[in-house]
Amino acid sequence: MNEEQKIAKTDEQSKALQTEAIGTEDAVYSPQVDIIEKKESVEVLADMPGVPKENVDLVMEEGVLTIDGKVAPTREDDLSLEAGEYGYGNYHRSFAVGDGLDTEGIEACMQDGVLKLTLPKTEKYKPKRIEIQ
Amino acid sequence: MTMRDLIPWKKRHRRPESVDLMQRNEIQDFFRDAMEDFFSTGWGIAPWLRKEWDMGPAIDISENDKEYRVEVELPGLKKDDLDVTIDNGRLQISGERQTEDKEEKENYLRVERSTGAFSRTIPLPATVNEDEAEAGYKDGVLTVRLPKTPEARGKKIDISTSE
Repeated sequence: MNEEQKIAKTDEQSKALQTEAIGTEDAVYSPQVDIIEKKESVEVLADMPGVPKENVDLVMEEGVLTIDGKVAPTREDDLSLEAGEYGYGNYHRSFAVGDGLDTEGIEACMQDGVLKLTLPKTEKYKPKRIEIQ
Repeated sequence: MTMRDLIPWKKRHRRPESVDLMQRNEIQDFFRDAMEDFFSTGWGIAPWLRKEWDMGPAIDISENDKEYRVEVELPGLKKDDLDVTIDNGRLQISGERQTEDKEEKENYLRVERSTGAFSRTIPLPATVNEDEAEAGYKDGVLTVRLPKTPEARGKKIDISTSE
C-alpha cells in the first residue's frame, strides 16, 4: 500500500464510522488538532474534552496512527438535555505517518482533555551540524 | 421562554480525515490547504491564521427535578484561567486559552484548535438557587451545577378522600 492508498483507506473508514452513528449515543467525532514541526520531533495536539486518560487508545499500524477516545459519561439518566451545542460522543481520527518519523519512539500525554503526541524524527531528518575541518 | 431559546445554536465542524504528518511536498501542501480553507473557513496553516473562538466554546444545558447543569467543552485550560460568576440572574463563563508554546522557530503544519479569550453569558431562570451553585473542571469539561429552589422542585399533593 502506498501513502495515498493508506490515506484513502483511513479516510473511508472514518467516514463510514461517522455517518453511521450521527445523533446516536455511539456518535464518533474527529478531534480538532494542531500539528507542529519542531527541530527534532513533530508534535500533535488533539482536543478531546470529556475523555479521561485511561480511555485513550493509540494504535500504530501499517504506517497509520489511530487515536480513539471514549467520553466518560457524566450525566445521570434523569437529566434531560435542554440546549445542546456539542455532540456527546467519542473521538476517532487517523494519521498517515511518513518514514521521517520514528514510530517506535512515540510519546503520549493526556491532560485536561488535550492529547499531546510527540513523534521523534528519524536521524535522517534531524538537523545536523557539520564540523568545519 | 425556555432556556433553549436563549442559546444560539453553534455547529461544530468535526470531520474525519487523514493528514500525512511529514508531508514534504510544498506545492501539494499549498493546494491541499487552499482547498480546505475554501471548504471550511478558519483552518489555517500559520499560527496567525489561527481560529479565535467565534461564538465561544460549546455549551450543553440539562436539567432534572433538582438542578440545572451547564457543561462547557474547554479542553486544555488551567483552573486559574477560568472565571465563573453569577450576577443579576446571569451566569457568565469567561477565560482564555493560551497557546502552549511560543517558540518562533516552530513550524505549524496544521492549526485547527481555537485559542484566545472567550466569554459566554447565560440568563438563568428565577428558579435557580444562586447561592448553592457549584462548579467543577475535569478532563477538559467545565460543569456548573445550579440547584433549583425548593419551590421549583415540584410538590406532591396529597389527595384527600372523603367517605
